[in-house]
Amino acid sequence: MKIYIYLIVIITAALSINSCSNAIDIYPVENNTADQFYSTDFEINQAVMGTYARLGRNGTNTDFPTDFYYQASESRSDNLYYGSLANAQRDQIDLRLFQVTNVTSLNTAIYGRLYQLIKDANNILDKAPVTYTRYRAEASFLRALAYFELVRAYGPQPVITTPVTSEQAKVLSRQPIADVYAQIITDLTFAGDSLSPVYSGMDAGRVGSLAAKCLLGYVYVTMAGYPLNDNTAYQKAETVLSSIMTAVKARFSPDYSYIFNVTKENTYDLFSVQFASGGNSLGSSLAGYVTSAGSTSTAFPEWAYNGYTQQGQDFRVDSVLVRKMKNAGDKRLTTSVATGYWTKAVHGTTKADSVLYYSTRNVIVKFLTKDNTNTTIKAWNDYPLNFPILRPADAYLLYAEALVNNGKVSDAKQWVDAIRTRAGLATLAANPTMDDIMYERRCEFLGEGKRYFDLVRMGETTFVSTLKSFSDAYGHVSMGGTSPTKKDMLLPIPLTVMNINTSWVQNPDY
Amino acid sequence: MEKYQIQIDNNQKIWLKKSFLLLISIMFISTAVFSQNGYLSGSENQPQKISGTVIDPETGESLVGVSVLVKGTSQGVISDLNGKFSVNVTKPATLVFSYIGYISQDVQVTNQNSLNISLLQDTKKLDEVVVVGYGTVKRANVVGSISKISSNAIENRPITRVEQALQGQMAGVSVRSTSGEPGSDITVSVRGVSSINGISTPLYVVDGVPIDNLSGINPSDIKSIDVLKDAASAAIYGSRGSNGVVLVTTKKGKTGKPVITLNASTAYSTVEKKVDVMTSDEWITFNKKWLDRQWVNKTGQSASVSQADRIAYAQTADGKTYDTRALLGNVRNTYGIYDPWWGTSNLEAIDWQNALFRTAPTTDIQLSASGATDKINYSISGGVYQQQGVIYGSSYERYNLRANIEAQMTDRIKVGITVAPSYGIQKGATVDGKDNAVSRALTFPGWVLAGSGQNAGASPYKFYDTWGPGPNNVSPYIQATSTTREKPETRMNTSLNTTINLLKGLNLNGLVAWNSNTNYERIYTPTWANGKWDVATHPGEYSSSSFATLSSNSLLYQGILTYTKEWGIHSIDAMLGASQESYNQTITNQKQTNFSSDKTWVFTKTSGTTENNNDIGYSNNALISFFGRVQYSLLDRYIMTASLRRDGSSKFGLKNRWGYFPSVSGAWKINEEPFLKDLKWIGTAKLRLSWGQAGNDRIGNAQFLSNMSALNYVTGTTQALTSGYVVGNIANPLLGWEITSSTNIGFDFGILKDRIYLSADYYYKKTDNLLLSAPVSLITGFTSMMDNVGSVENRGMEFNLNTANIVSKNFSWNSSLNIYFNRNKITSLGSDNSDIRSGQGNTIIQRVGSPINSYMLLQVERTLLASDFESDGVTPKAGIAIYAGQKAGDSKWRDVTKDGKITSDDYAVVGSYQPKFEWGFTNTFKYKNFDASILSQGRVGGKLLSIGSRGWNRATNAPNWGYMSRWLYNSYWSETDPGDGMTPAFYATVTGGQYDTNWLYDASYIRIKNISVGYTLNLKPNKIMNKVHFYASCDNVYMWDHYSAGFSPEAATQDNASSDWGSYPQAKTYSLGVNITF
Repeated sequence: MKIYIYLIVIITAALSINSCSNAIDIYPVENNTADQFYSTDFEINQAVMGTYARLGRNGTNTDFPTDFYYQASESRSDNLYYGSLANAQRDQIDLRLFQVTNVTSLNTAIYGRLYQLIKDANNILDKAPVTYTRYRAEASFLRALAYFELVRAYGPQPVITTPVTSEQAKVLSRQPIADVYAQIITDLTFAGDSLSPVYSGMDAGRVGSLAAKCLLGYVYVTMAGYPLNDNTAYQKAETVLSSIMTAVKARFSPDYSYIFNVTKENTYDLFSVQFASGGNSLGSSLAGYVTSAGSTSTAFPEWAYNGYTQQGQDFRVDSVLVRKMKNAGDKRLTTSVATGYWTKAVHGTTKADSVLYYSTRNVIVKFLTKDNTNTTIKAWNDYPLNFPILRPADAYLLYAEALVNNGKVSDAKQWVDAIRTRAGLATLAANPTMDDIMYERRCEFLGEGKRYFDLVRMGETTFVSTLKSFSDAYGHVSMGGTSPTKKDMLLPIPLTVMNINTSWVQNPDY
Repeated sequence: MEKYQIQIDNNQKIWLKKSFLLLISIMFISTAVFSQNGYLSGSENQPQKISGTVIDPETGESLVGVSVLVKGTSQGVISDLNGKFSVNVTKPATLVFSYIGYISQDVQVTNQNSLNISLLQDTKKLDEVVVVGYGTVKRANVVGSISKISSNAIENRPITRVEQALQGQMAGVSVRSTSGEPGSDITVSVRGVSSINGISTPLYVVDGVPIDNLSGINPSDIKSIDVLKDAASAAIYGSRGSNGVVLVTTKKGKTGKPVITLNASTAYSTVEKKVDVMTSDEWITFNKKWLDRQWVNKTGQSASVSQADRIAYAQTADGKTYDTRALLGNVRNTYGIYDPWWGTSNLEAIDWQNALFRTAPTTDIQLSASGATDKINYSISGGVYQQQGVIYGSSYERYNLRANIEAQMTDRIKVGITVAPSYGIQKGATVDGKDNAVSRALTFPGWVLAGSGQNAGASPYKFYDTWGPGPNNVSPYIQATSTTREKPETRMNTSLNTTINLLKGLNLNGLVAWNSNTNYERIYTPTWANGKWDVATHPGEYSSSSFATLSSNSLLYQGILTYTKEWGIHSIDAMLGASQESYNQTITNQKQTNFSSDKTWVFTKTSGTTENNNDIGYSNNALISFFGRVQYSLLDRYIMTASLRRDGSSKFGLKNRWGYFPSVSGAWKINEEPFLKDLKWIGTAKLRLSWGQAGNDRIGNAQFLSNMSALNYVTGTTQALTSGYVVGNIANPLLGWEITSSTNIGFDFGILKDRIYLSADYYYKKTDNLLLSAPVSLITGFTSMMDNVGSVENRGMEFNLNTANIVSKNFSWNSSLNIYFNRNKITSLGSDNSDIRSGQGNTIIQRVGSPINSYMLLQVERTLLASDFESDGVTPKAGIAIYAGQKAGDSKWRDVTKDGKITSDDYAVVGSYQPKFEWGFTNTFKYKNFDASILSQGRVGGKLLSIGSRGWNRATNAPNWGYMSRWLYNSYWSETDPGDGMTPAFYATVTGGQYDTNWLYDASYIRIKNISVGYTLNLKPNKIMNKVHFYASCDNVYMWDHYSAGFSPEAATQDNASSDWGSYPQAKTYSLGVNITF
């Protein structure tokens, strides 16, 4: 018996001192540390996909087009005004009413997301062997796109082309915008030289050289305006765009509405953020922001998916512009804007019904899927429609603008006319002016986040006077807003960055 | 080994055998060994029988179970039910009589054959044993700062969870019931919060085994709880001791005849308080007032214009006909139109708080059996606890078993085993937080469409539309009851413990413990209770069902060598040990929505049309430790203790994985000095000094590595999901231990035989290398990195005063008062000391110089008046700083930057939840067979941000929702009706859009926590029942507080546990119970 007792004791004691320091060498079962990654073609491709995905939902509720192109850009331009002031989504109100500060979280999110994209692109360029030219070119394009948005929205930025640690980041300084543009041009030139014109089939939606060159043209045109006012830039824009115009023409949609038709995606564009519904956090949140909605009583077009609460505010399209387009018979209007809608699927048609269920207001609807039976949409931020960042019309109008400024006004006309003809408008009676081109841009890209930066590059005077008179016309100041000034040509650097990069100087007047 | 033979009686043999069986079968060793029991044998030569009785001279009662040992041998017996014993001895001999709670007595036996022994009760508190890490010490020899409570402090209280027992009982230990939800966790912090991102709860150790949570522990199984507060005491638990250590000791059998006790109680709970929101009628008054204002502003006409005239005016102005209620709804805000249904039978009044809260019963039945001989002791208990919550639909049930068995197998070997399974089940929808039932009960106006009552919003009713919150809302009662949520949890705590006496004073102890926890949470929300039930195309369209499981195992191996020796004036107590702990957990999570019917929560992969979650996760971690401690005492007057622990944690980078945690401490028992020994009035005078370091590794696993995170994208003409990966976090190979150093000076002073006993402690505790998710510049592509940066300090004082006010034969009155002060301050944060902001609206801030989780808000000075503006009503007069767009009726905020305007720069730190001091005061009374106690406790100072009251306490321009009554009576309406000067106009939307001190409340309170009275009926022994104790008790008797925007000033649950968002209210509980000893 005693032997057994001692056996118990020994077992217990042996177990007790079974300490072995290997026991604390524990690594995650996911087997997915960054050190091991980027080792195969498959993994590098995944890293490229992850970088593209920064433009999508990025693991948050809203995608980049919603945050940046819509909330921070389009809704601050003279295209949209507040019908009435909402109590929620205060960040967007602060942006729209020119009261954004260095702690506005939407502003911080935009800034952070663009640098996330740059970081991911830098990781690919740092770790992928040079033989992976296409992946490297895609990463370069995405990095250039991020820097282009950063430099336009925030002014001088550190040019970061390799992964940086937090210690290294602390000592980086804000470099002149010319440095940033130089890097953007380098990246886009590389992407333009390395990629096929467009990709299709399984690779549809991935960037090709047409998009890279079109963006480069956009960059040059932007450089030609405020604040760089680079007088050689229009020539460079003309050169790079002229090389792609034939190919671009082949993707120019015969009908404006096809561009926003979910069944015709990746056909009539150059580069779009890709979205798909299905509840996989891959859908677009933009549709949820374009019309107003209460939390429980949804004022929303009956033909749109209305299963979930919308997030938007009472944003309406400039009624002067709407009237002008309507009077001109501009076919783009019906695709881009609804001037009224039934808010209920089942409704009568009497006058009383219309009082109850018809809402008269000009709202952007081009991003809404006109299908209220679409059951693949699972949430307010699960819309399937891609968001175009660059499409043939960009190339047309950028090229026309470069030609006009390079004294080739008559060459420019055909490109503007092509846009007008598709819109159901008469061709221009005379050669295009800059005003003609800007008007076409405004109508063509309504709701797509381009107007604001067009105003910026036209210079301080135009920017301030246009936005101030718009703001006054719609009573934004009496809603508690602030009149726009020169400071609003840039957004503030987030406080969290200023706290750490202590040598940085904040953008003026923030 | 022959000389260690023992003699035991038959009864004991059976018990020993039974325990053995249990032990052995668990160890997977054949029971065949029991065929040989040759170890039970033998008798001495020529013994003579000595018999007698043992009594307590004070009560005259005989003592059962007194150990009678023949000195110098292993022979012994215990006294029987009548206090009688008989033992065979070889004369001359010495008999040692010992009994727990009594002073041991040696009695010489020369020629007598019978003995009558009187054992004296040991009343000296200082002989009480205090549990320290890996051992116990006598109270008198404690050198650190340790608080203790025993089971009798909680016996008469309706306590669900062990932690509740600690509230108000110990200086330095803060306990908060943040939620009144049955079975919910309770927040405990020891000497302030010392970590920002690491977990700040103390380490819980039950009978020597660390566990993550006390939720499976039955309060009635507890013998005592000791809390190690200073780092010197906690350093022996180095790795996780920095937030204090709570040591729970469960009951063991006491020597004597088996004791069987039954404890049964029943209780009723009601909600502790209600929030003063507008009544149904007040709400209509409020709405009319607001709509009148709309009318006046729109038309310039008088507010007394009738509804009919307003409608006529609107029709003329708009050129339309408004002849239905729905059409009027479209212009109600424009022309200030009243709901035609107000004052009619189309609407019915309801008090949502009454509809949601109920009187809820609790029953508790506990049965235990325990006993001991000198060879074996056992305690077996089982309990059933069933509690309903004060909110409909919520309940908690717990079923517990525990067996603690310890056997002295040979003179040198003792084996103990604990098996404690428990099953608890929590039910009820989540009612706390944004838009859930509790906050909805405050934000819904008290009207529903006639006939719908508490079921408003659920099929077949719609909610109060247009003039109310909207037709698609559902009532809080439906929210709480329609969602089925169940969270059953099975816990198994087991340990096997062997002690071998190697040499005199030298013991080896081995411990193997296995704890497991398996739980799942299932939630089902049906379509009929969704506000949109009427537009569902089929019955299950808006239904959702989720099922999440967690299964965890932790395994502890531990070996300890202890040595005690006394020689002359010296005594030494040493301990050396090693342990290894490993932990793993597996989780799964599944959720589907949109089912084909509304019939069931069970689903297959094809039942729902949307799959929301389908995840599997696994993680594990481990800790290896080596530790030792030496206590030396000279003349039983000077005591020195030193300890050192070395810990390696898998959670840290290779370079900083191992940490050393030293401590030294000393005590001087001044009263033992010759110069004081003669002063009889001094019972105790002891000075304690200690210093030590303890660590914290309680962060997630593998945070020192840079991991790839999935981030998928869409590609191809088919718009297919394409897998993508990005670098998810910054690697920090240097990540290591968070270390807390603490110094403690304490003084214990007792006079009049310790009838007045004061303990005072001062401590300074500094936490360095804070485990902090520190912000990094966004230009790195990341927002934060887990790093060891920053420091936090806590300093404080604790006083504990115990007095025996009246001690007489029939009446006694004892008091215990504790007060503690803690000051918390962040002294550095990251390398640049930049603020870290978090929480709703960034209202929570970590800032150097301020306490952890301070509030960052605009400060309301008063309400802006028309006289603050120029005649245009929008331009502020010189010297009046406003936020852009503010007008008369908005809050005037403090211009902190003094730049003449209010901007986001004017947000300032305005305090934190941390109190100036907390206190607890217990009085116990005994009169003959009656006993009574009253416990009060409270906190002074500290603020609570009622962030959720943004819903029911905010200027919003949306009067169709419900609000606190201050918005009717105290808010600014006009220059002639300016309110109380602090409540802004309800229509002040600029004010409503910012976060200000309007939502910050004083969190001080005084609460009579518990009153209980009891009566003990002593029955004659040998009857079936021995003793019956009846008691009645009330918990949360009454509270005085200033927290009007929520239910409890303790409800800091949101945003780093510092703000409240409609937390589950606390309950006031009345209970009746009986405790029967057989």
